[in-house]
Amino acid sequence: MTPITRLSTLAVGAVALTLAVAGCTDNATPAGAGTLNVTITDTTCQVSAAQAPSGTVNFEVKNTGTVANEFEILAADKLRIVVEKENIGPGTTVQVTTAMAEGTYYTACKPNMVGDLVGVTEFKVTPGAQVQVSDDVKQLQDKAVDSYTDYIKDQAGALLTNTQKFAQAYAAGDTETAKRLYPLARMYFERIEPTAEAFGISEPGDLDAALDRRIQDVALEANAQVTDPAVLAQWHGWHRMEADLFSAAGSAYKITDPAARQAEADQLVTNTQTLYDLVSGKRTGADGKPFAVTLADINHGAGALMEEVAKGKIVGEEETFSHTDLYDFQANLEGAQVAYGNVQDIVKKKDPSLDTEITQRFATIAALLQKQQTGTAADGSPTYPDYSTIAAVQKEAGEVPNEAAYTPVQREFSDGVNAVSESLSKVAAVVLN
Amino acid sequence: MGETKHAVSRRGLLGAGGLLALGGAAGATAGYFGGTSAAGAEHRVHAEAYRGATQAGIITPAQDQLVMAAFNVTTTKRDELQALLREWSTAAEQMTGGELVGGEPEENPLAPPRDTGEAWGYDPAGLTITFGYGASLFVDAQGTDRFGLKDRMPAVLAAGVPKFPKDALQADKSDGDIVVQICGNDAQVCVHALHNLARIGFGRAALRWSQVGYGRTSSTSKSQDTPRNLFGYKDGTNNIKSEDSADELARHLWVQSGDDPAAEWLAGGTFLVARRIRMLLEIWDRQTLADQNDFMGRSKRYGAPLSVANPRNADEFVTPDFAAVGPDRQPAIPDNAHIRIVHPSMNNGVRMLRRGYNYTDGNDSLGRLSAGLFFIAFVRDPRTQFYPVLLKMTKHDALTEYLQHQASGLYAVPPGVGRTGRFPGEALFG
Repeated sequence: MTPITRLSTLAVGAVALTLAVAGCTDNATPAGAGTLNVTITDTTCQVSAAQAPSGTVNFEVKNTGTVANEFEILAADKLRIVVEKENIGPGTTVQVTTAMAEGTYYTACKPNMVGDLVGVTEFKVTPGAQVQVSDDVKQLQDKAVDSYTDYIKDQAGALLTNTQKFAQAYAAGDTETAKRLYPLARMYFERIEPTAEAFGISEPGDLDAALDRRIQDVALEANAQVTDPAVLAQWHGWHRMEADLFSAAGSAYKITDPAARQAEADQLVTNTQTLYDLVSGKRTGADGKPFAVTLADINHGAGALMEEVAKGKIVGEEETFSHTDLYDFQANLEGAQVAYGNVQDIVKKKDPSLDTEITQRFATIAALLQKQQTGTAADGSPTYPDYSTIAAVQKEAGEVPNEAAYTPVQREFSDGVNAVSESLSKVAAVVLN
Repeated sequence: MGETKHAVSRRGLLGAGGLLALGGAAGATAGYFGGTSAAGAEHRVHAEAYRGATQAGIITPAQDQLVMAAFNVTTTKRDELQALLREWSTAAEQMTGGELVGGEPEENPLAPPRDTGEAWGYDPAGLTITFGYGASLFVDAQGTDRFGLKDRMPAVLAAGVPKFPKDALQADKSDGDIVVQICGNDAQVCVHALHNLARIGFGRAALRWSQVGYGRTSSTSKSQDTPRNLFGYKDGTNNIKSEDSADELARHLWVQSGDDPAAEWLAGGTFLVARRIRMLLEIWDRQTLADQNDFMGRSKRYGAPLSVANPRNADEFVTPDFAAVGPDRQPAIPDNAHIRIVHPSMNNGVRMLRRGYNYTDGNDSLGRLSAGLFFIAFVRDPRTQFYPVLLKMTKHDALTEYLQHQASGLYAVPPGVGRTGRFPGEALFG
């Protein structure tokens, strides 16, 4: 449950010197206009020019030495690496393409990637023509923010109508319908979860607490058992109703009073309406400001959604009564793909190999999830099995599974999520400058 | 290989403790070979050379700590596998040299740091990282050629490890596509190495099993004392040592050109066999001293073989006399004593380079220490140098009663990267 402000703060303090490497392949590709030649030997590191105009600079790096080598461009402090290419084999040529802002840099090599830098040489980037790429990127950045804002509004709208349908069935005692609608309505929330979590009426995050709180967290705060009536009385929202719907007859989690059920249903709809009003600009949040997303929020959103999958869904701790975790999983994944999709054009421009990697890894995890899908309902929504039948999960807010008990399905999910998350962690640095 | 460098750490110069490190340089000629060096302390580096004709971590004098891990390769693409091996090798070279993964400490604040950081400012403490390839890297369980390497698979890997009596092997703690043996004299530096290799692997390789070991059970140099195992005995005195002649190492340790024509890429490399051997300590501890000595064939206190009449005046380096008879007219070293079963003179002269570590993974649910020996040996050919000895042990060795083999691994360890290589085993892909 990380607030979205974390990355925004970093973004403000970001140094504009950060550059992106593009097209670093081991295969020599023809050098285009403005290409600088770098010739490496075991003891020298020669760049064909000591300066270049700002903009995209391409270095064609040829290792004529006898050992593997590394080419680096350092910032003015000679410490921070702004761009590097490691393990360039003897006799091979690689391309290093970067967008460089005006300033003083240093070029250097490092034989065998360890030890002292060799051939540290000042490299000046002079004012150049306004770079075309930057204009494009600025436009892409603005477009990303606009379309992600629209997406969040859409999802919040659909969340509201689907929540109303669910709440109606629940309050009316139509348990079967409520159980069927529960995971489907929640998908709209799960797609925008990191954004929704940051909102509040009296303080940031209070809406998320009202809507999506788990009994374990309530009990922990009260230092009491999860089934303690006093604790249960303070617990409201989606998971309170989940516990009622999906726990066994006679369980402490059952709500038998129809009036109490109606009250839960009403409160869920009211809080969801508030969330929708905030997102659609009908009211301001805890900070008195209208809803707005930043580029940093989008970057953070994709990673945070996959973090949700890793921490709550794969281990089966989110939906501890209904075991509908795979619906949440799909929604988190879709939300992450949309968030990334909004900045994808920027990544494609600045670091195409990172984009390829992320696209492939998203596809891998989506295919793993698809394998578990049992079918499609009449309205096109997916159907998934009870997660506890294929995974080691927490049941009825009880003990979490033993670390050694996770199943091969969970292992595959975990490997897939680790892969895409590691790649997504590199996106912010590419997009936010 | 085995060249050791003692110099002032570059990190010390760059970091906050720079002046201190410079001040310490004058006296930094003797090798520092100790435990944890806290960040900010005087940085004298004991760095093993990563580059060499053979990989480090084999005849390198056995360090005090082990972290060993096997990975499953999850990518299906040959170029991604090669890229992973290159990146791992680069990181291994950097960490072995006492540097951060990725090079420099000042990085982009918007990106996660390349190096996870827990060894920042620490002495590399003799860190070595050794890579080996398992049979499953070449072919999967159905025999499918995974990366176009099948026709270069060593016959030793294709044959696999035979089943031994009383094996209680756990599949998820055995085998694996790629093994990484990480050794050093600082546990945190070793864990840091695995932590970073695992991270680099995401999307291409995932951890299958890992094992932390904390006390070397073998000496691989004549300058080292013989350590004790968890039964309290000095064992493994007849190990191959780095000081052995090149001929002796070629005969017993290094795969020779022509050994396996299909796997010529392995010439100059070796095979690593690993066995996780649980030791039933609580039961062993209740045996009388006389019985313990008989089971082992040695004096517990002095280490001398039981063929020595007065062990007080001897040590573990005395050559056992298996013909010696005790006052009771029985063999002084009993027929089923461990040293009689495994001694080279009783096994056609075959030797191996043992490099095992003690381990303790907490306790089991019965309250017994989950402890034992993580056995590691390097041999030119396990079919003649290891399997026959192990078979004999499981059938006749008195110790077997107190042991349980829980995991097994066999890997081809390619030669080192030399001066110009980019990762160990590059020739396999060439």
